[in-house]
Amino acid sequence: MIKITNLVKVYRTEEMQTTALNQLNLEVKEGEFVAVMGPSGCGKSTLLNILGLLDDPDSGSFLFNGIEVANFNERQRSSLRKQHIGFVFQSFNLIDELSVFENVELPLIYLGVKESERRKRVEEVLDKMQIMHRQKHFPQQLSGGQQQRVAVARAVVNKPHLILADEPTGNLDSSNGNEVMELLTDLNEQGTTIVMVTHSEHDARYSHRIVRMLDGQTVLTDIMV
Amino acid sequence: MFKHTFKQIFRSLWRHKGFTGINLLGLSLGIAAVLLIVLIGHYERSFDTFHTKSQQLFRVVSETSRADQILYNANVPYPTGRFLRERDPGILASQIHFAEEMQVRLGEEAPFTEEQVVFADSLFFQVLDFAGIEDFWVAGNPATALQGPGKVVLTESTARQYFGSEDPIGKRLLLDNKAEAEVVGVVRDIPQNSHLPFNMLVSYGTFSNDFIGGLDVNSWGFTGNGYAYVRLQDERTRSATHEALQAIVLSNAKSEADLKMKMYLQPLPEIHFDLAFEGSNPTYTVSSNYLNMLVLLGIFIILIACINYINLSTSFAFTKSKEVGVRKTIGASKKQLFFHYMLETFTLTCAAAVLGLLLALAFLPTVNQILDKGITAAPLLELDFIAGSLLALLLLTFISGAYPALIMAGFNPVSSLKNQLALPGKSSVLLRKSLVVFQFSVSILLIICTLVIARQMEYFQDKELGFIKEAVVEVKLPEADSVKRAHFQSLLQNQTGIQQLSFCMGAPVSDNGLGVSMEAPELPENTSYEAEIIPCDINYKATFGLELLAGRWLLPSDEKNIGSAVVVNRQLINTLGYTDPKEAIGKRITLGINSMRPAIVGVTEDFHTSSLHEDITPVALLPFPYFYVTAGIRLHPGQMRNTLAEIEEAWRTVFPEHVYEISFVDETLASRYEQERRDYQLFKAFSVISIFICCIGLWGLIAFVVVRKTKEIGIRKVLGASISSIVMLISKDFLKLVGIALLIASPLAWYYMNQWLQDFAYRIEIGWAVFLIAGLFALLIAFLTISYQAIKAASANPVKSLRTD
Ligand SMILES: Nc1ncnc2c1ncn2[C@@H]1O[C@H](COP(=O)(O)OP(=O)(O)O)[C@@H](O)[C@H]1O
Ligand SMILES: [Mg+2]
Repeated sequence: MIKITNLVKVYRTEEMQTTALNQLNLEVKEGEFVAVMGPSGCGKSTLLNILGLLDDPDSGSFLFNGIEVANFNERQRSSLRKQHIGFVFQSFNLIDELSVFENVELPLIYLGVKESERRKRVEEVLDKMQIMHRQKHFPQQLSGGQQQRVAVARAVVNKPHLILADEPTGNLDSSNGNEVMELLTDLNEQGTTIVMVTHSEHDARYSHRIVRMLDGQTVLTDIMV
Repeated sequence: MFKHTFKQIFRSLWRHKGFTGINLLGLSLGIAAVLLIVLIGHYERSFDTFHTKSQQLFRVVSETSRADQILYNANVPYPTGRFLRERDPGILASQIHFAEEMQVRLGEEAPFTEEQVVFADSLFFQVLDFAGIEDFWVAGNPATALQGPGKVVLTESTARQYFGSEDPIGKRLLLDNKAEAEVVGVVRDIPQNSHLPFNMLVSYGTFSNDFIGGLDVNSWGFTGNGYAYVRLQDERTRSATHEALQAIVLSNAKSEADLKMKMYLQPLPEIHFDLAFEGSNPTYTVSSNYLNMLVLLGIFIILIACINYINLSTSFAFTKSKEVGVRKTIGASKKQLFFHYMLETFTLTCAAAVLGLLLALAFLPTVNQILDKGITAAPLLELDFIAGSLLALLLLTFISGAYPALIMAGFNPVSSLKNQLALPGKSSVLLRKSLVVFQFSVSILLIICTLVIARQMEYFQDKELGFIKEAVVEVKLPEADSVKRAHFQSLLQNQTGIQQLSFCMGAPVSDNGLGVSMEAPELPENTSYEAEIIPCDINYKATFGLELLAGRWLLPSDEKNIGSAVVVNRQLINTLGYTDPKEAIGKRITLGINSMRPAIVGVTEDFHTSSLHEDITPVALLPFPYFYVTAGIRLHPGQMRNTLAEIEEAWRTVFPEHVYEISFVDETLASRYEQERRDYQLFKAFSVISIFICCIGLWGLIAFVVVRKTKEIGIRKVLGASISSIVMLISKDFLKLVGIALLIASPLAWYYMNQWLQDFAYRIEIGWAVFLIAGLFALLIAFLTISYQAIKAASANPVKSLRTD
């Protein structure tokens, strides 16, 4: 599903240049659950952003389902993103002005899904995440674990093929963290490809494979048994 | 999709109440100002639109070249209409006389004064048909109503006022104690937007010399208050009318000067706007330039409000950046985001429009009162207007919202999620600063204009006019009868509250005066000169405190031998070519009234005979009891109320049949500056609104600056910075912008106000002080706006602000 070759991403600021990704290679197969680990600043988030078509690389190739997307313009990227990719962040990133239901509904609106269909799908996914009873609440009224479940719900509501999660349990205690990991595992078992950045060896054990990064490169891949 | 988006937008606007409040307030004030201006403009442009085929309608006017100027006059000699019809029976011409006021008496009741009465001939309603007014004729027959003498048509209000619910038809009135007339018709009230307003129409057959002080209504050359209107059915009548007018001037001219008059047709729709005829129009005239200036002011105010929106939204964008990042991540395209934020602007603009509409409706009565107009809100319901305002709303949304929405839609989702957006770039900071400079430039410009107008108005008050105007009243005398004058004077003889009493035609500046031509051996032939005659008795000098420069003042013997002696002002002898007043004593001038040739026996210092718009003209003070229609009375300031009562009582004893009218000379004078008073009110209102909108915008901007600089302020305080130095740090940049705005606004204001001052023969110099005051005022207001938040931020506990990071 994903094949990345010699990918380079350089951040330039007035004072300095940072090479966040340096000739990075990575392949992720359809249905895989991959954990990305590495020290802070090694380029994990940068990689995830490029995989999610939020950012474009400076050079190298990025094949997404066999299509070269490295040179896509903003419009093409956003259209691909809203159909195929869901995001989960460490800091949840829910929109404060929207209720739980509306937060989850938003991606469907951007996709242009009809209202009745939207309602059905949002309710379905809220039910699955067990936050149906909270659908009228606003993010500030929820606990961290509940917020992250809403975020996961929002990430999966458009039935993406790929879920990108950047330290999804980073702000959660261990029991809430485990719940979220169970959710991701379930999704993966139902066929969704997942790439997850994490600092926790415990969480990484939920995955099929751990990719270790250092200085913008992949250095090692552990296969889980 | 819409429902969903609106819900989000409302919640977002509600959550950020400060942002919403500032923009709502600014935009609604701006919209209210523009709505009022649109209503004013619509009202002025609607003048005289209620006649059918108004492009066929014309008024006969004249222009006359004088030594140094061209005189435009909308008043034409009374026989003009008749002469036109006699020359060419195909010309549909109507002659009228417009009486500012007339005394009316119903049966045995006390007489009262009716304003705006028109004497019109029987063709009047064929020319000006008022057909655009629904059911114009309430009673009576338009074809015959004005035929023959002694007929009156009343407006509905007048009829109701005179006769209540009784049928007015057949009722009789006594007009000016001179003619009786019978009510034969009632018409709807004449709309206020008519250049020729009237409360009563009298058939022209009723009109006679008596109504204009005994002057001959059939003579050519004398214009009085006559107007002639023409309806041209085709091109032939148009050229026929022009030929007829030329022939009429030629055949009636009695002198070279008369031949210098040219008569022509002025289109009816232009009457209300042509300033050349301002002095002789029955009502006020307004220039198109003035209306355009109003529109420009409105646009400026709206722009100031839009700029608030632009500046606050772009500052706010950085606070909202995370939300934008999230939306992009979960699939929003740039287009969808742009649309979302434009819709947010549109929502706010619509809310502001509703609020602005309510504000405008609330202030309309005040505006009507200040401007003395009858503007209604009815045009707001017209389809044109609704379509126009929808377009305007879209435009407003676009101007305010496009740039911020573009910025937000263009945010990099990765950086905005990390709250790592680069601070606004150089170009956007420059843009923001330029916009603030623009706002303050407009405000300072308006403040300077207000100050200059205020100073010119003060000058009206303070300027020495060469005569005493305080505590002097003019009392109208209904007839120039020496016995009654003597009686009136004797009744007031022992009044200690009266300092001086003079019988005259009017005070130096009054509604009465006689403009005549002047000839003298010293003056070149072929050019005509004008002088103003003030008929007055021997007490005039003492009553009005005139200063004698040479020769002697008038003596009782001069009054017995009218036309033998005259006292003139310095301007008159200067016109004759004398610089030393003594030289002029004994010289004779010929005045265009009974061709009298009095000798100059005295010269006074110049004094003003009209408002400061006009230069001082040559004046001849002539003892001429025939014209003593006014008593000028100077009172002791302390006991005016009692004295005024005594004067009225004496007057009523002498003239029991008439309406008592009294006016203060200084008030009459002040009324000459009505237009300036309105300009002043207008600029004051616009200044206040614009500086207010500027300041709430500044308030909002400072709020963002303070948030952004919280940490810097904390560090500086820890390092020992004082509160005042921190307030300065925050204010400095903005105060600099106000300074730049002052530099931009000053020359523009100077130029514009110089133009404005050109209207006055006597005017102030625009000194540097107004610029200084306006600049300091703007700086002070800006500083006060800034310092509240700056002081709050500077006084905060630094430990707290450092820990938040
Ligand atoms: N927007 C940016 N501008 C400049 N440098 C950046 C930016 N984002 C990340 N970096 C730098 O790129 C490197 C990789 O960052 P990141 O991918 O966030 O690392 P990680 O997620 O592994 O901690 C770091 O050195 C970081 O400082
Ligand atoms: Mg990271």
